[in-house]
Amino acid sequence: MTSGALLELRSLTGGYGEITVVEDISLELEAGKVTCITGRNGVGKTTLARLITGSLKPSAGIITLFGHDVTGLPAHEHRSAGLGYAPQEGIVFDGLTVKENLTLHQTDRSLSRYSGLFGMFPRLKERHGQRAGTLSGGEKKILSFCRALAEDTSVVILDEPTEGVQPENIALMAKSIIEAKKLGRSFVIIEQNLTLVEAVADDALLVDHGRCVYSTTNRATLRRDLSARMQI
Amino acid sequence: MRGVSVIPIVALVAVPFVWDSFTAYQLGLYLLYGMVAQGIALCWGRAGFLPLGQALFFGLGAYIAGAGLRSDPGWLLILPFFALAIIVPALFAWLIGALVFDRQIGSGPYFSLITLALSMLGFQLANSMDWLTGGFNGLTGISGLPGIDTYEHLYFVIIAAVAVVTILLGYLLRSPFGQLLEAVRDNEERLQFFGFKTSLLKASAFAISGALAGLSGALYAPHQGIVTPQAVGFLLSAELVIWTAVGGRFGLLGPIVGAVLIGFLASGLRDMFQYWEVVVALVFIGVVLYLPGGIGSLFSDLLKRLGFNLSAVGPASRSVKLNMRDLPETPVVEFDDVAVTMGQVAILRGLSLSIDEGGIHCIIGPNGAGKTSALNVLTGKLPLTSGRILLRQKPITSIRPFRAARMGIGRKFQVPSIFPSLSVRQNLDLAIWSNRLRPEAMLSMIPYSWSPELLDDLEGRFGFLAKSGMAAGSLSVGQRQMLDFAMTLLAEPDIVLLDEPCAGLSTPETAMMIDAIAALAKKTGATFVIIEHDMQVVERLSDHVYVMHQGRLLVSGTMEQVRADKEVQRVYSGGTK
Repeated sequence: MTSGALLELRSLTGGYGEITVVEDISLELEAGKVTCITGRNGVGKTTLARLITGSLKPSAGIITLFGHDVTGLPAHEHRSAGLGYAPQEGIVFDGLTVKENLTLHQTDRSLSRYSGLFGMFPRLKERHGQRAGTLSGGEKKILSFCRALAEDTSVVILDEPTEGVQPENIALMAKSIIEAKKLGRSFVIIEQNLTLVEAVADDALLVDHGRCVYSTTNRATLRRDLSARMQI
Repeated sequence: MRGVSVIPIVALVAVPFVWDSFTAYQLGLYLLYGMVAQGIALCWGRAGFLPLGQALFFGLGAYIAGAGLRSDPGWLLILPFFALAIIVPALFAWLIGALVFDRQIGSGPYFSLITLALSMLGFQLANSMDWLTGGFNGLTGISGLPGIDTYEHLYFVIIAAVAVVTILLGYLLRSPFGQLLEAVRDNEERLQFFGFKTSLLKASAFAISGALAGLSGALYAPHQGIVTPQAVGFLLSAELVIWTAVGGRFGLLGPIVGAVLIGFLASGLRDMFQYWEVVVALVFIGVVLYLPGGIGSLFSDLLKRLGFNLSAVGPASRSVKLNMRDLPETPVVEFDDVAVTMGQVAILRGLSLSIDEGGIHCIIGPNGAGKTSALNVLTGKLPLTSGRILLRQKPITSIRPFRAARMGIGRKFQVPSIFPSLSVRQNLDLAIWSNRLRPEAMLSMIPYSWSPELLDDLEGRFGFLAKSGMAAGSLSVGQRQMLDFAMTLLAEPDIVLLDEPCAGLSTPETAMMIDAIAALAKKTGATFVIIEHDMQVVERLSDHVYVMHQGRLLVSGTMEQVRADKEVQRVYSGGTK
């Protein structure tokens, strides 16, 4: 390990076939920190998340998790390696109940680890016996968020967690991320909603054309700084 | 490219001159099977549903033509029999398709099993109906076609039939009808929301495959001189599917290549090796695992590498300008005590609201309030449990999505719904054709050049729409939102339903989307109904706001009225990005 980083990307590059979507992105994520990645659409943010989580193989660069090289590790081995992921799309199993969705990765099938989250999102508890397919779009997002948070992974990748979520619930998401940070967990959050970014980010990166074009650690000015640089 | 396609034709025509009569016999037979496989590929590769009982139509054509040829008649009498041998299987296939595909989108596996069962039933009937089919011994004494007395001569007839069928199919695949079938395979539900009755599109494709099988069968009868129940049986049906898979179900010539290659392989092995079927099975497994596009895809890849583009015909220029439809009169929508329950869960619990003015209406409310479900019942995606919905004073309670689209309701989905394997340009085509493409125009190339007035406006706002060759599946989620939005508008509905049009968009992109909605609402004069959480969007756009909570309407009014409401403040405060 070269630093105290839980997750480190060194010149990560990748894409689809011959098209490079993410180019030369580096970051270091320390324990208890949140790095937010923002940028306009189609610049490679989701592709970056897919590269980090093994859904896509990088064409160059190195990913280390707890100091171990995990570049090219298959997607399904990332969770046991300590990395959680709530993707942007395809987030719940429609045919399973809410409870089954929340516990299918656990051996004990108990909802006990969700007690704190259920306090914030009581709707999820109310609907635990219901098929997840009957949830609304925003509720599915909340389910996916809670599942990623309740896992015992040290590093969590969240891809647009607030899409379709009502503002009150976004504030609660921010609150639960901050609580998790205090326990030493770290997050990479891909997010367009600057309200969430302002609330939780220790480090905010602006990505454009697959490259990191700007970064800031100043929460007080990041909305202004990022908006000004985010050209359509 | 033309030079390349001439080579196999010359090679095929030369066979009787170079090889013996037996080879011409074999190749003729395999080409007939290949023609049936082309029909399977049309259904399976192009439209995404797999017929497993295609021998039924092949055998039906063979029996009909065989019956006509038993009396050794002249051409004048044979032609009606040949016409019947094509039309009867086609109509039969159409009927099966129309019945099976009618209600639900996920009927694919049932369809496959039903066709397999029908093929088995056909085999039983052909076996037992001695008086009609000759039973187990088959229909015998079938003479050759008049004036065509050798296998070499019949081979030329077969080659001509294959050539004509291939040219017609090639045209069909390039026509709007062919593109609609691809769209069915990609995202059938979305196509229904553009007003297309997809069950009829699929039934038509199946009818064409039935006609091809019938034609092949009609030529098979004089080729073999006998038609036995095996010609309708499931064994041949299964083999036909294997040939299609091995040759390639996505292309035009792949199925022919599959039938001919496996045909010769099997024939060569049969004499030398007792377990020859195992070899054929291994070839099949190998192709499925390592070459999912079939052997045909090897050839097309090779040609592409050599610089021949098989889809060389570029997109037509959009030269036929289409004016915008006249400003519709305000379509009044009324929800009257609408309830929806799914299992034990009440999603809507007596929703009553009416949208009786034009302009932009926003529906807001907490997650799970039933906002998307309200749009789902209005467009027929979700059935009502009780209550009723009126559009222009007429009940539309049990409407189906394609019908809702035809009545002028257009919809953008919360999770953008596009056709991922089609190009951006093709996605736009489908939207432009919505409610404009009449059935007879599906075979004309003119619809590709349609250019509605709104398209320029939309391409100006969302620049990537003009990069027409890009696969829509490679777009980011935000771009898909924009594409879905553009497609919804291009269909020019009277009522535009937008479900979270700004989800997944950055702040500047949200601002751009707000501008687009405001400008296009004004330009089209349509009534817009928008579900949105971002208050910046609601404030900027809404003429009227509806707040939903727990499956009911809580309050409605202007933004100020809604904001001042104590109940609303309790359940929903809103916010911006």
